[in-house]
Amino acid sequence: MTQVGSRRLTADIFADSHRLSTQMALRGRVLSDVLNDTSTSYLELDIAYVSRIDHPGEILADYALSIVRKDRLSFVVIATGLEMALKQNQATYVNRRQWPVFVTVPYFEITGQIEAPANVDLRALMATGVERFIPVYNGTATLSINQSVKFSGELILINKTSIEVLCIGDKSSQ
Amino acid sequence: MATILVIDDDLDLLQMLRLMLQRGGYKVVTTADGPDGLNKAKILRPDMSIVDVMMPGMNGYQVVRKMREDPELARMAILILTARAQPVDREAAIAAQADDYMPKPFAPNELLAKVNELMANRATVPAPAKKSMAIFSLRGGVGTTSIAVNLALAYHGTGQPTCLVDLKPGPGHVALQLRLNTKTNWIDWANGNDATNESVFKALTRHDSGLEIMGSPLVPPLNLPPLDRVTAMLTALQGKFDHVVIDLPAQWTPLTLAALTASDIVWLVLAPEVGSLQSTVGALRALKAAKIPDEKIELIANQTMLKAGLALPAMEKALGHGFTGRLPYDETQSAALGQGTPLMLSQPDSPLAAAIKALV
Repeated sequence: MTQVGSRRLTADIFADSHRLSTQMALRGRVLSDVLNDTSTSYLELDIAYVSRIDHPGEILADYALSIVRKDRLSFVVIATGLEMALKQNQATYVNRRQWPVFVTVPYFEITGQIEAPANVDLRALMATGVERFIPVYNGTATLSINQSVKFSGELILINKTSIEVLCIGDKSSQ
Repeated sequence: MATILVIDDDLDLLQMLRLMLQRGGYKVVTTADGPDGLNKAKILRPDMSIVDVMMPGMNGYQVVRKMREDPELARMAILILTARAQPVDREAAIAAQADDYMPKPFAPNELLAKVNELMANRATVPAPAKKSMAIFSLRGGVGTTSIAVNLALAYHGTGQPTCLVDLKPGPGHVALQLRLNTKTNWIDWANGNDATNESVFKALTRHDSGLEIMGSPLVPPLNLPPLDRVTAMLTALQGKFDHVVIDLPAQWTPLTLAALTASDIVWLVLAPEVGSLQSTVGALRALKAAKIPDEKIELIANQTMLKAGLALPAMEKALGHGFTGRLPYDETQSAALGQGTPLMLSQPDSPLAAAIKALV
């Protein structure tokens, strides 16, 4: 069914203590490319709506211009609009598969699926030389100290430098 | 016809919502920012507001809270429509006292279904919003009195207490169209010594249908009563009745302006002919100069003659204003006038009566 919405990509950007909601005009680029672009350490936002993590639904203030240090972001949640956030998969010789993933960053635990080779090498996955942000599909970020606060999206882009723990594979029930 | 106010800073989306809701049978008013939306809501008292959250300056939650602080808007349905699509955002919308929440993007059918559901729920809540409507034209003979009489009867027919005011300073035709002998008239009341609300209500005459009428004098006075008495009379009637319909003279006078200012909605009536078009251009300019908000003004095209006359789209273009209502030619109208039995009572399914009912 046809969906009606903005032509801009809506993203929820999470730093350690704040949520920034913004609508981005990416001018032909995808968000992951913008985040992984090493030629700039900053992400400029047209309008940002700021909430505190302990009251993430309340808008504290909005600002016409904002700038964010990419290395201090924890993760970015894209509720819908995957095509504006990530390039489509390109052909590869490597046999890739979807892996269930569990990640912790400050104050949040994130679950979802990542795409990685069948013989995944976690050390290589975590290397920040190529891309700073890992895409997690159909992800949910849960506030560790209040598990009723969850943020879900078609995609969560996690800053590798914020990752404390990364686990992949099917979890066993306890 | 129910009115929906849409507040969203995305102009493309605003246009899409307008078309979608108009196709769904609603009258739509749009604005791109929160403070203007609040202002429009206070003036128009719409049946529903659809409010975006991420708007600069005043966000959607702030708009909704302000709306809920206004007792006049307490019954209005409010739907939050936002790209902040997380469960915490739904909770925030409900905490701001919105009735419901819908995330963007959305399917048009789903939005329309949600709007219809909220409107249906609203219809079950008692105490309708009070509205007063001025029926006006600077061109005589375009049917303002017939429209005012039938409109008032249509409101009365829905069970909502309604009063019809014939604010002509001379012999108006409201009483004639209803075959009514009014016991007194607004000039007599306004020139009297008793300015209490009770005295206003005592000056009303009840029609057999139950509709209350404030009549006009048969003989026009040389001097009109003070305007503050007229305003006080209208305020008293607006406080007592859910709907006050005011039939205005076809003249631009301080009396007319006072009534237009006191009304929530102005129906500017015109017929599809050149003289009427010219008068309406003048009326629109006069209303603008008098700072009557454009949102209050609704153009009503009344096909008073059998021949087609000017094309309505061309008139809309010339006026720079769309028609809210298009009333068809009805051959039974002349007989209804002659018999003193308005179509809304004698033939409620006739084309003209049905078209007026559809606008209520």
